[in-house]
Amino acid sequence: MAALAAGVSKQRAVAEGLGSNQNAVKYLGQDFETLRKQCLNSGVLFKDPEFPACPSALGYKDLGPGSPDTQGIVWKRPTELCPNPQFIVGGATRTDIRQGGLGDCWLLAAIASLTLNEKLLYRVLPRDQSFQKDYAGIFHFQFWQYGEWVEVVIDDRLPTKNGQLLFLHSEEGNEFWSALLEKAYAKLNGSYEALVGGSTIEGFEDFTGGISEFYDLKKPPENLYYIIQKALRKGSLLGCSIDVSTAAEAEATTRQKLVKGHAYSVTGVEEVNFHGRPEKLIRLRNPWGEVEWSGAWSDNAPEWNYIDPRRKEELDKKAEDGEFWMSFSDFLKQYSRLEICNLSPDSLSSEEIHKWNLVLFNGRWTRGSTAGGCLNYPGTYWTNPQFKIHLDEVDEDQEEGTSEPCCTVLLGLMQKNRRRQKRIGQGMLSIGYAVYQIPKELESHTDAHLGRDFFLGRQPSTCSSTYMNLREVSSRVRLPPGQYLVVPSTFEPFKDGDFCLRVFSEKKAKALEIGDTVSGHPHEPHPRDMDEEDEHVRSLFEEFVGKDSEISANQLKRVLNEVLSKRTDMKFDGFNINTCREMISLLDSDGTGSLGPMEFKTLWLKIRTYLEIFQEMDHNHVGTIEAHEMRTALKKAGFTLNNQVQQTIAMRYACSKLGVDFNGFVACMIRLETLFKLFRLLDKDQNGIVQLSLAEWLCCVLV
Amino acid sequence: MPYLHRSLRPQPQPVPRDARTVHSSGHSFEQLRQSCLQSGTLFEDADFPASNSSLFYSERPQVPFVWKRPGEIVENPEFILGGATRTDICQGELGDCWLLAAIASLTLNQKALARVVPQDQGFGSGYAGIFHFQFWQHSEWLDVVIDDRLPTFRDRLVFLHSADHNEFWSALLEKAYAKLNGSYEALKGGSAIEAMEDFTGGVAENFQIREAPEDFYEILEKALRRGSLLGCSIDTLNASESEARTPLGLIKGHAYTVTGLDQVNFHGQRIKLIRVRNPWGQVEWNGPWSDSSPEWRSMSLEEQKRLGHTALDDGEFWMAFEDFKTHFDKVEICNLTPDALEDNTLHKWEVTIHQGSWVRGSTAGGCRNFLDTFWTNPQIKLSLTERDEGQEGCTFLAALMQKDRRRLKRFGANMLTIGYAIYQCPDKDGHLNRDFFRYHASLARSKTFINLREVSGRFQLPPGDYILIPSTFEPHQEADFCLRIFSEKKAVTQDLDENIDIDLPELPKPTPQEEETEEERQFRALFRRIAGEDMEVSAEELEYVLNAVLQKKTALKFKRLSLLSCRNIISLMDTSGNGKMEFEEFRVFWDKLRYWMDLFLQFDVDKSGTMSSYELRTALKAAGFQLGSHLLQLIVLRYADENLQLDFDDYLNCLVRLENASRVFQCLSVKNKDFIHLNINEFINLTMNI
Repeated sequence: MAALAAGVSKQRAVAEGLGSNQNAVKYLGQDFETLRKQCLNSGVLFKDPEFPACPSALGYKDLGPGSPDTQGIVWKRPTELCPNPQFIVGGATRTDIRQGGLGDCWLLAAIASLTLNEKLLYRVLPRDQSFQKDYAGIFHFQFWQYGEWVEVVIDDRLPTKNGQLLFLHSEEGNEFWSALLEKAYAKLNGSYEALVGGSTIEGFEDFTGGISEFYDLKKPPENLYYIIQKALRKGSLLGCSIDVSTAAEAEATTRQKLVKGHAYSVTGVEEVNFHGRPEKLIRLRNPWGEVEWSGAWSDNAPEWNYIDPRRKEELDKKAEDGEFWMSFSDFLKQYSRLEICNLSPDSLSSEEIHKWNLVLFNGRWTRGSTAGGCLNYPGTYWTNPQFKIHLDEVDEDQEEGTSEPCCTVLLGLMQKNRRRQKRIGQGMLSIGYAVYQIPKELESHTDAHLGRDFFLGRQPSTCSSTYMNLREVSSRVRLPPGQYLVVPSTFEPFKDGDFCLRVFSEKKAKALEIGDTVSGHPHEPHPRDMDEEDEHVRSLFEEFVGKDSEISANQLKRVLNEVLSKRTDMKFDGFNINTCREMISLLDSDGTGSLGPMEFKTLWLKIRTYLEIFQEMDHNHVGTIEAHEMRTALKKAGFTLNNQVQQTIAMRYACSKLGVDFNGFVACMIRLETLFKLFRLLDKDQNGIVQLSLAEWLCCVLV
Repeated sequence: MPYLHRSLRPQPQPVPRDARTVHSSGHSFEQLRQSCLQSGTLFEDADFPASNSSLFYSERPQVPFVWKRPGEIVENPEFILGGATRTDICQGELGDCWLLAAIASLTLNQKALARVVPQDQGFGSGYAGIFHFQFWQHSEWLDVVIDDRLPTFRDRLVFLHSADHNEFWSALLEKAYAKLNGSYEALKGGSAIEAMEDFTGGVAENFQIREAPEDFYEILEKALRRGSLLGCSIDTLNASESEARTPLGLIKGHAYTVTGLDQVNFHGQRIKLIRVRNPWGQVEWNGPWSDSSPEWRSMSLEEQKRLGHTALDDGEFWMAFEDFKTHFDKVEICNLTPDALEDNTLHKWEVTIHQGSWVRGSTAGGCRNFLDTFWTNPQIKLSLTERDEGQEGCTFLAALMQKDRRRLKRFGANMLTIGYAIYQCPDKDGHLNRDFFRYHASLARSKTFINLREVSGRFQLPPGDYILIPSTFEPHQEADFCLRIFSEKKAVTQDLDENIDIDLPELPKPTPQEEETEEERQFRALFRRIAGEDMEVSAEELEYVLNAVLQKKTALKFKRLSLLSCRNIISLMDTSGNGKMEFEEFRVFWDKLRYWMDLFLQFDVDKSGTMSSYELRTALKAAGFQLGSHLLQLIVLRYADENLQLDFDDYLNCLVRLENASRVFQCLSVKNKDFIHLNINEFINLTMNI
């Protein structure tokens, strides 16, 4: 399957609703309903060939084959672990999540938060499965992945040691939905080991499709309490943790029984009357299901004696399952970071007033064309993908009455599939983005890719605080109405990566990728435009093939290379036979597979034009131009291409050192011209879409 | 009933509405005329200017020609005087008597004439120095616009002229035909049949009178009754005899027109007479039944009048049919298409037209003497469904015409030697291969391979399916052709070509590592050394790997795989879209490559390292790609060298791109299996990557 065609095909399916929660993409092509029916019919419990119960599913290094940690692991179905397994007991609650021996507490905290919102939970956890009705050893879950929902099918064999679940388990020993959910997520990421070490934000996003924020609790904003309150009201998911100084401190317990380097969930904020003064409280939960805070307002703390007993009863102070209250001020002192996952509009019901508006882009950094690196690399920074945002409406409830009316925007830049690449040693890239205000004089500028000049001497209006090797870098910005340019990039240039850029705004915002139009208007020379050198070329043509005869690809190669080899102002190894064939394809008007004298003249004039452009771009006179300069060169030749085509060109015509020689340059130009002419010919009714039969398609490709 | 075409008074005739405008401005005759009338200028045709380039392409003019409009030649020019008749055609200094004979024949059929010479033009009101004529060219009618400047010398038309010197329709017609063919010189030397066909769209038959069938008189009689046009000539032994005059007043190597047939009672015997015309408008037969022969004195005046007997030296004369057969050598019949005939005429032909091409390297197979390539010619299935009325078989005329050769004369192109053969059609579908023609004889064929524009023959075969193979005599000769079947009952033709049918199995899943072969383990080690830990190679690295491995294959003689082929391979196999090939992808490709290599060796019969382009169809089919001739022609144009050979790199490149394109089509044609729809972004992006 050609990757590009698969991409186009998927884009179309997405436009028709594929990837929504109701129409999730089948991960690895596995359809739950079909597979379950097959198992029920054959009377055999499901065994997943895509994620088999074998060492490779556990991990690749610390949990890899041969590792001592994986000795003695036995894969078992829940029906083999207890007599009466259940998918969900008494509804899915946050006490169903207890961490096992895998360092994926960040994931468990996210799962715990998920249980606070039943609607969100059952999007991830379809209810059409159980260990009783239609049980076939097969289960499915749905996760959000870079703009679309993916359905993941698993069998129910879980890793155990000595009859106990090795990883995530529930307080009720016979409840298994959370352990199975963990397995499905492990499959999605490649293995259980791939889940080690992460941020709760990642889990939040994959369960909801929302966008995350990060707050440093050492420098909290003044209105953090209200942000949390609003967030909980909006159904957002919140996680928090205590930083660790050394690896040894991970999951160490403080004197007051808080766990460092461990992810907690925020499950509520309330205000109580304490000694005649309002006291802000925050409720947290430890995913271990035990080890709770023992300071003020902890379960048995004396502070509870001084408030109204009915109020106390409301706050459910007696829970022994890892959930506890603490004062907001203690929270700020003890914890280091807070993460908020804001949900996308489709996650929220219509009753909730403040829904975000969401625009989402998928893009790619490709070395040689669109992997420009950060501002520190001005030569290539401008080649990064560029996105334009129109902010027209200011927010409604202005929190600070004195400031200028602004539009609140959450920007989230997420890199894709890096967790899967862990096994081959590729970790997270350092990513970030910059926001530029588009000056008034450029607002009506056609949406063409902005060149290097735009960025020289111009400072971004808002910048992500730093380039970070996190899956997602996000921030909340407040901008005056206007047009803005967002430039996502990796820190260093020439790094390949896929990304997803999301724009959450209070009000509807228009956003588009700049440079997405494709058009071709190459210069069409007239054979009369000949001068002395061209006379020499013509006489050479006649010498080779005679007057009024036609020239074949091989002869064309000899003529052109003979002429160009005499030029001392360029370094050139000659055209190869395939480039000459492309030339004949473009200009052969009578279908003979060869060129006549008039056609040859036209070709020569084209090559001279290309040579001028090439030499202008070949600054060092080394015989090649940088792949990322192709965009500029192509524009000079009359071609406006979008990022996808730029990426294709870099892959096709640049060598591994990202240089394009003159042969590749001309081959690219000729082929583009051929294709644009073909499209114009085929688009008979000028509606911008061609319909092609297989024969026509093959002719286009092979011409 | 004796049949005699009398000249009729001019009748208004409908102008053919479907003729295609061919003027380079894109405007029609009427548009151009109105434009000239409004601007008050006479039309000057930039497409066919009044200069030497319109006269000659190789000869130099012997006298200074002056281009003049009819109004500058005579005081009172007329387009048609007294109706267009055969006496309006007198030959000039150009050796195009064949054309004049055809024009003369045309005047015998007013409907056919009116189609060529529209009646909406003249030198009266509405005159703008512009005229138009319509010609049939390979199944379509073209409307040719000219200005009325004609070559003259000393105020006389140099070429075709009318007996009435102020009548100009025939001279203008000649100019339009010269324009259509590139120049006046292009009209030198031809067969009347050629022009007859261009005037009518009919199909021609050739008869050698010495070998004429018993019912030859009846054939001619039917032809005239059908409105066909007939020409005849006397052969010459050498060039010097051309247009030599015999003692009996006949001209050798000269084209005459047959204008009538009749029978009379002469001394108690029924005598068959034939009326013939010399396009010169003079020099007539002076034997029996000639204009002033004594045989006429025995006829009644009434009968003389019925036969149109005159004593004028206008080029038209009667002669006895037996004398005709004695003195003339050839007769040509142009059978007209149904639309050219009146509705009340019986026995119209059913016409089927088939267009094709001989392309060197793929479909220019030559005649059966070249058995290795004969099978690659276009193969046309001919279905004869109904037998003739009262007959056992189906009668049909098959006419194979090569296109545009006269226009290409200036580039040195001559008429190719062409012909065809007819075989019984086997039951299987698809292009027939070499073995079929090795072991089966043809049922019928064109009489001879001959370098005429058109080769035609009359056949009678039982109802059924047949294969007709048109070809040039020698292989590798390129031309377009038009095959026409005139049949008593409707016939059906179709290319016996292969529908595009591509068999693409699912790419196999990689086998587990435990089952790797020794060769695969070596590849893995090589991969790791070159690609590093990520086990992905770029195009340059793949080039190195493949060429290193293939050098060890002594059976395969080739220079090296090109970087372009390696890029195409990566484009095909790369599933992640990062422009690199992973090891698992390489293993799948390697199996494919070995299969393709075996195929190449199978078709490289002389172990030269190259494959003949004619074998490409079979090789591609074996690889799972059944393609039609048009696609094959494109591929050969692109990948074969001047000697029509493909080396392994080009062969591999071709297969990789075919598979890539096929998989793209398969992927995108989800809802409708027959079509894909692409906007310009998708089109450019997908196509650039294959």
